[in-house]
Amino acid sequence: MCTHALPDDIPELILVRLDSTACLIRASSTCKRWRRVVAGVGFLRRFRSIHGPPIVAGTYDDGARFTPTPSSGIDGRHFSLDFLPGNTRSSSSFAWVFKDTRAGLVLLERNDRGAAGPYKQDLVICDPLSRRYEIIAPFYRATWFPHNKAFLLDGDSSKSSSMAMADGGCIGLSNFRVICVAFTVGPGGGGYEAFVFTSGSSCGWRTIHIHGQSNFRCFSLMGHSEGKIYWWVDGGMAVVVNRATADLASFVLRDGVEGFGDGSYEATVTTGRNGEARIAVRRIYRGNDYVKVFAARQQELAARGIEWALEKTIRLPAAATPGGQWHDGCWSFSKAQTLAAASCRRKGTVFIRLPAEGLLLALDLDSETIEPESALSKVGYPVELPWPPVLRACRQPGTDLGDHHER
Amino acid sequence: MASAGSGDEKAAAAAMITLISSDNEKFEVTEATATLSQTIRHMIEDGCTDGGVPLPNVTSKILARVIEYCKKHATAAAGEEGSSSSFSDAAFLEVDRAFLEELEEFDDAFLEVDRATLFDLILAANYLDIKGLLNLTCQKVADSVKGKTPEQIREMYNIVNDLTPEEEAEIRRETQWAFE
Repeated sequence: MCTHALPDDIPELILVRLDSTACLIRASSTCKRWRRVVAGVGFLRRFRSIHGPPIVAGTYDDGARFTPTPSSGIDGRHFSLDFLPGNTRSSSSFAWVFKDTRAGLVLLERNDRGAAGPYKQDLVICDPLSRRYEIIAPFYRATWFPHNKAFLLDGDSSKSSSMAMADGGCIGLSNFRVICVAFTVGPGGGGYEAFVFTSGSSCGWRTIHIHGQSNFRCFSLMGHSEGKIYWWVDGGMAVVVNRATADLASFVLRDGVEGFGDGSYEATVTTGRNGEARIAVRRIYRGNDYVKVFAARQQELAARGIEWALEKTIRLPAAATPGGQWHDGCWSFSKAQTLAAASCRRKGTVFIRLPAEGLLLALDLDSETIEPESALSKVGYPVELPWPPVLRACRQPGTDLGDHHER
Repeated sequence: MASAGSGDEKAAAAAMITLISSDNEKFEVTEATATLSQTIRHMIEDGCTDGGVPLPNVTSKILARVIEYCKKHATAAAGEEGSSSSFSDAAFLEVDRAFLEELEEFDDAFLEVDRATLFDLILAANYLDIKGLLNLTCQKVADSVKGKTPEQIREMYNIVNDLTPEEEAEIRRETQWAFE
């Protein structure tokens, strides 16, 4: 019996039922034909639809120490970042700052304060398992602060040849995008600009325009929910990017009574129990003992995109604070904790930090209850096993592998 | 279809189809058994089953096994459709559970075949478009590959390694973690 007599769709039917990414990689290393099946259009999407989301291999902390998830069965040494330049084992501290992780890839920022040469601030994307990395050229118009957030987005699915997936969802060292917000100084003064970097032949940064505008007084991160990242922009506007398609949209939050004028507000996003995003907004200076919760209204308004409407206003109970009141400016949303809660499937909760008292409170948006929070662990950077699995070697001729720095 | 009257059901159950294997052996099966195959179902709908259905891709040995599977699972399907009205819910659930267990045991025993037969069953299930059987047999192969090295997989399924040593080394290098 020879498997090469099997019709073309049979190996696919078998391979799509393999129980893990590792098993799939081994099986696709048996012969060219099986390898072609796995690299074929739509295969990885079908594999994913049967097996669910990829396994989280482990978590990096800010110092790049990697802790494997016990159930993943992965040797943590494979996630060492010692192959990054200037990050030899002898160096006393980690020269890189974590920014984001996605599908097994890690986005970092280098702050090189070396005596020789100019001050370097690069972004780098790396694949720990294959020990490769790409330096992303910085954009010089912006003032790049280390606290700037940057996020990985999937690459352009139409540019990916044999790995193409019909619904987007492809990212690799030669096909990815990055979105970040930075403070820029122009002729009209300073402001925040959002930039997207696209890899490939036409690689580079471009400024994002929203309703023709590119410079904003306020562009602050709310967080992410269900594969989308949200920012709070001037005057009650929100900007959202889909991490799989890199599609950008903006919408306005309306509470029916008062709009968001020039006052100072802070907002955070969480995933509600119904699986849809909720945005919680607080006013920073005056009358700040309430949180307004917004949800997307279903009908789409052609002119303005999707409109978000006020769902409820939660008045915070004075008893929740040690002082018995919500002093002006004494509290803020803890977006890191809200993110951590989303990743451990605690839905519909936002977190409030009282810096003076060193307290963290959890506000349940459904039951409107508020409780001290102690269970949530420190936020790390979870890394999934790479998806799609790396299958560069022995692909069809003509696929662009890009130039990788390798060690 | 649930909408059919009891008289029609009897008529349908009695309707027989003749399947003819590649080595010209004839198998008489009920329409209910035969229509687990979407391929045959379409032929019946098109009214081209008179004089038997030739299956030039399936040997009598394999067709006998396929029919065995279809008979068992056709009974299961009929049980699901017919029994809800005649049993109380609790009794129905009890019967249902017992039947599902029996079906699982049947499937396990059914898969106790050598690899050549397993592959022939996959080909037949694919050709006849019998979803349940295709799932079952492909999953069996997938399970057998679990935890195996590429060399072991090649040996199990007579796969010729047409990768060059350089290509193999490159694969190992970029996905070393998956080989440990």
